[in-house]
Amino acid sequence: MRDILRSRLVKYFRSPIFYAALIVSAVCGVLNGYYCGYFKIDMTDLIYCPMDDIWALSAMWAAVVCTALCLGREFSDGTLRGKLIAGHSRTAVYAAEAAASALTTLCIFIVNITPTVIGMSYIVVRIPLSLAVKWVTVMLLSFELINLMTVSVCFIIGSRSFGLVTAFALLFVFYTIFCFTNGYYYNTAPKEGYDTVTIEEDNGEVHEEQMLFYNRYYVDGLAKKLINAEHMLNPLSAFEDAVCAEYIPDKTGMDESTLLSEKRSAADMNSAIPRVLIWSAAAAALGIGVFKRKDLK
Amino acid sequence: MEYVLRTRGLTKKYRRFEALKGLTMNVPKGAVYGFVGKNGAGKTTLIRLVCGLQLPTSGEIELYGADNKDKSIAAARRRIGAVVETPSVYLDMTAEDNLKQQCMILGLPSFDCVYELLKLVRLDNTGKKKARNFSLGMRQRLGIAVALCGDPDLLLLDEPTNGLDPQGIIDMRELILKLNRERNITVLISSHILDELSRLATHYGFIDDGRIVREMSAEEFQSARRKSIRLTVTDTAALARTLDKMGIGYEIIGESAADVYACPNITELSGALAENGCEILSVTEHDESLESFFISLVGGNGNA
Repeated sequence: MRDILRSRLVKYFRSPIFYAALIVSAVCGVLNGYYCGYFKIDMTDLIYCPMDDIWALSAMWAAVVCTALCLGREFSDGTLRGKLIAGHSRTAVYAAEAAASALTTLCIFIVNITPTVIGMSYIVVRIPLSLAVKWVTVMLLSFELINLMTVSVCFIIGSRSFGLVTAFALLFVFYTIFCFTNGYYYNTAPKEGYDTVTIEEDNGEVHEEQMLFYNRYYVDGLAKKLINAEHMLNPLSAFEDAVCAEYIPDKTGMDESTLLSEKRSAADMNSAIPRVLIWSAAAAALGIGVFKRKDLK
Repeated sequence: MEYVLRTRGLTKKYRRFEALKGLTMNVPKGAVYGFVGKNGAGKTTLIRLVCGLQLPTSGEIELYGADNKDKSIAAARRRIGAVVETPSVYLDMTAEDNLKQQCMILGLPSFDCVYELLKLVRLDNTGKKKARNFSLGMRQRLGIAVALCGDPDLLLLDEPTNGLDPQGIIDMRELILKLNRERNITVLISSHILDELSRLATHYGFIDDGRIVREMSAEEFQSARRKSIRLTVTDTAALARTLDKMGIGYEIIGESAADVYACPNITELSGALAENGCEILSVTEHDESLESFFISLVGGNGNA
């Protein structure tokens, strides 16, 4: 396996696709850092990691494209055959490819997260170190999970273009499902209640009124269970938990909904790493299992 | 006789289609084993199974004494090099870099063999040219050079002359003979160009419908193939009618020639042809071709 890994790393580090992915990821990281800095003005009491997930996701897309195109080339050029003919086992070939792409994904992640963290430095200094480390770990593992899923998809599909399209489609489906359900999942507000609204009269008088509101994201019963199950089963959920992570340094005066939200966020962050690891193990097992039985041309 | 590759009752099923139906073959050490069969007979499938690209449904493959069900098969596979259908080369890399990649994959301690191999396949002057800009012949030669990394003892070549021009075919033949004679590499080669194969092979395996129908050495082939006389005539249609009437086996070769697999009475034949307005222009002794032998063996006129 070491021999294949070495050859794959040489190939990756000479590939223009890898460097293009690095540049895209770095640009996304800078934009992420910049917009996080912008949000600083409003983030005085409630501190969370207010990334717009599109920038981090774009870096993830870049990693997926890099892995799918570089690994897909092994199939399109037929060079994967050479490794098997050379006597390497299929498990070793898979493991080497997964390890090599994991390393390149790490590089892509680093150039993305570094400017992001610099841009978020005002947040980083106010949250506990353990939370910061956990946050970065969950982000990294999520990148690696999506990369591993791409590797498995490529090994299962065995075609450069179809592998790329399928990996993209999978990521898109997971993200779309997440977008439809996240409003319900992250909502901690009650079903209905009263909001204090400040009203300014025509004569200039200002007074406050209690107004009834209905929470359209409130779910309970079976719907709630399904939303929770989807969250546990969606491989992107750990990534989104990190993106939406919350921390309140001073809890005095916080309403119940906000406190609940932070509590849920902490619980999600705690379960995120095991969830990603289980997903990774499942993706690898599926990839190896299918590849071991696959007839190569 | 020592064999480098043996198969016993090898079968391979793709869902409902059975590509190999209990194939048994033996490749002797040091041989150039010509693998002859129609399209879809199972030649490429067998090579894929030997290389480990596909798994047999049943049966055994013995490579250098290692059974395909044993772990030792991995070590045995390190002794083979192969070009299966298309050469396995990185199209975005130079010939030299492709060979270096293969050296790394094989875990070779140095790249010393690279220049020697490039010279052997006459690609030593390609410089920075990427493999995607190579001609088909150059890619085939690069594929063979990649297969030769690590000094294999057995080379499996699946249709290595496909798409090559006449000069490319001659180059390929010379390269294979050189590898066999100078490096003592056993070569298993499948080819559609049977005339070309007959110039190379020391042994033949004739495959039809997923089974080996006959295995023989080149010497055995020499004695087994039918002797014929080649007649050049003015009208092959008249010749065909006449030979049919006389019950003599023949094969029309071109517009004015035919191979006759018997020793007919030339005077009688000449008279019969004259009655049909056909003249005999020449008569020469001729050996049956590999193609003709193959057709007589498997029957029909499918693509060989």
